[in-house]
Amino acid sequence: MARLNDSGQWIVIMGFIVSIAIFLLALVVAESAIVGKTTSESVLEFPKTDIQDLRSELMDMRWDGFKVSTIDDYRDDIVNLSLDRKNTVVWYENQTVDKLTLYIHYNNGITQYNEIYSEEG
Amino acid sequence: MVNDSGQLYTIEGVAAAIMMVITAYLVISSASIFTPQEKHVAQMQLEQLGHDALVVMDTPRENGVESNLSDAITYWRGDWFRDNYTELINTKTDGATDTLNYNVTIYYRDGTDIKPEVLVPQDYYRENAVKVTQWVYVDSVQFQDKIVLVEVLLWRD
Amino acid sequence: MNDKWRLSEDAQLSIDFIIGFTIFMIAFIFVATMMSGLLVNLQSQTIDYDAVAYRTGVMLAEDPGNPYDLDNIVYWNLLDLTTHRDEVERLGLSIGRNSPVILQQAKIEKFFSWSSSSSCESNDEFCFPADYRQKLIFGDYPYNFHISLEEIESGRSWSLGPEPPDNRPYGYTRRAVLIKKPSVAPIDAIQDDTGVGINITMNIYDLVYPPAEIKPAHQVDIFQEDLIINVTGFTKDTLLQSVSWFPLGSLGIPTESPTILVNGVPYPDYSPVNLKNNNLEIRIEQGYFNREKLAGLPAIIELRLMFDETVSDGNPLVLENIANPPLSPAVLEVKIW
Repeated sequence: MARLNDSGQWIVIMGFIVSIAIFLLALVVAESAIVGKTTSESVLEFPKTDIQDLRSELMDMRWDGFKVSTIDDYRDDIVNLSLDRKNTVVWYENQTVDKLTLYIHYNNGITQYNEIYSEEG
Repeated sequence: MVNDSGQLYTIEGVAAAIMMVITAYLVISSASIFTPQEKHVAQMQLEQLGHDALVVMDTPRENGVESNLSDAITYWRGDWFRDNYTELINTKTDGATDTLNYNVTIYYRDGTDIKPEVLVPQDYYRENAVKVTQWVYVDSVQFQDKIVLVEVLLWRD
Repeated sequence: MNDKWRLSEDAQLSIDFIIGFTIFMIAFIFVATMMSGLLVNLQSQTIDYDAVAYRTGVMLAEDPGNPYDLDNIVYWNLLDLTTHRDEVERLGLSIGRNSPVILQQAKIEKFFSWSSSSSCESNDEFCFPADYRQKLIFGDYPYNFHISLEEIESGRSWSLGPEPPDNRPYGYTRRAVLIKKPSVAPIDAIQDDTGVGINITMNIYDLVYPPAEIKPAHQVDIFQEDLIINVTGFTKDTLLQSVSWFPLGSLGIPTESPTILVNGVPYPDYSPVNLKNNNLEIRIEQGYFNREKLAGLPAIIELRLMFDETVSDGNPLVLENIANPPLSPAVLEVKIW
């Protein structure tokens, strides 16, 4: 009577070990669930199409008769529309000295993109 | 004759069983189900396809010719846009057609205001939709010498 | 102390022990069954298929591939796969990094020339599926794939791989693209008495460095694409005598003449074919010109066609002024499972 009868505690201990194993597995499984979600969410989050469109439009204005010198007229269009409709800060500057140079800045709050595009005139 | 000696193992067994079942239940009920990211994948596919189709429409087919998108906006022909865009997004390679639908709005700057003009109207009833955009330079009676933003709201019917 | 272990001596397990152990085992089996549903998701690849399909779609539609070296004229679609298979690292169909979604017809043709037989290594074609898994899909898991491309207007289609089995979930992506086709220069032969042959003028500088106003999607690319010269309208019995470059002996012009086809059939050197009412095609194939060697050429070279009858062209053709055929819209689908 002085000692508690602890025979059979090995059953409880086994049950306890199994529970801990389940818990650890759950941690691993929870990790994999997050991985799957991140792939498509991060694709949606990155503004690949926005940056491609912006560069393409600026390059178009350059190809179509080299409107670089009047680029500031359209800059207001692009800057205001980007801010209002896409919540994005866009800025570009014609920094041509001896060769054609264009500085592009894009920031949508999550991704920031800066580029200095220059080419031999 | 009946006494409580000999209930040791039973109690231990029951306790272990209860502990395992509760743990397993907790774990499974809190494990995330994988269906949510299906929605994101569908959005990703829709956004990519919708944007591709806009780029295809915005590229002149030959040198020196205006692109289809530019023409549709300059002459304000929603039906030209609709025919072209629907074919691009709904054609599948095995000959079947998909069931995507959309509406199109042109946003332009007027002084300091941003104003919309609807090119292709379509009733939208809160389906899962994505928005794809494209910059277009237009010089027409409606928009004189401006860069406008074409916004297409795209969803699956 | 000995009491605990005396169970086995009597060959009698106490009922208490049996009941407790049974309850435990039942619960354990129940939990293990519940857990198997949870563990299955660890093994499954369903999360990855759409991501792999998306990445493959981006690589095909927006990446020009590797190798893609404008200065040294190394393009993956010009490499001979029998000897240079390992140099092809990525298969991409776009015409350039800054022209996404515009595909090169020559790359499409090369991409879709494949075979699944074991002799594919010794031919100039891709081995299905090993080459595509290494150079396009990537990853350790052996994905199955089906890639198809269809031109919307003409209905022409290319396809690679088997369709996914029914009731099998697969990752899917669809891209709308434009296909840039090689330039075709049409010449209408005039057979009167004043002709001395057909001369096709090429201004090398304009061809190697196209004017910047022309977008890359509309430029004539003599290195990466075929250049086709179509001569039609022969009304008299005419034989083609020679095809030669002028000035002769210039460094850098390949010594072999461009491919000559009559009505699609290669023109044999030893038995000339009568050109009356036939279509003569001179095809300067991709890879015929080499950029480095072109740099040493005189600015204007001519391709001279000599016939045994008097032939001339109405308006002498200046090659860099020809336009490409219109870009053709198409749909690209990728399925991964």
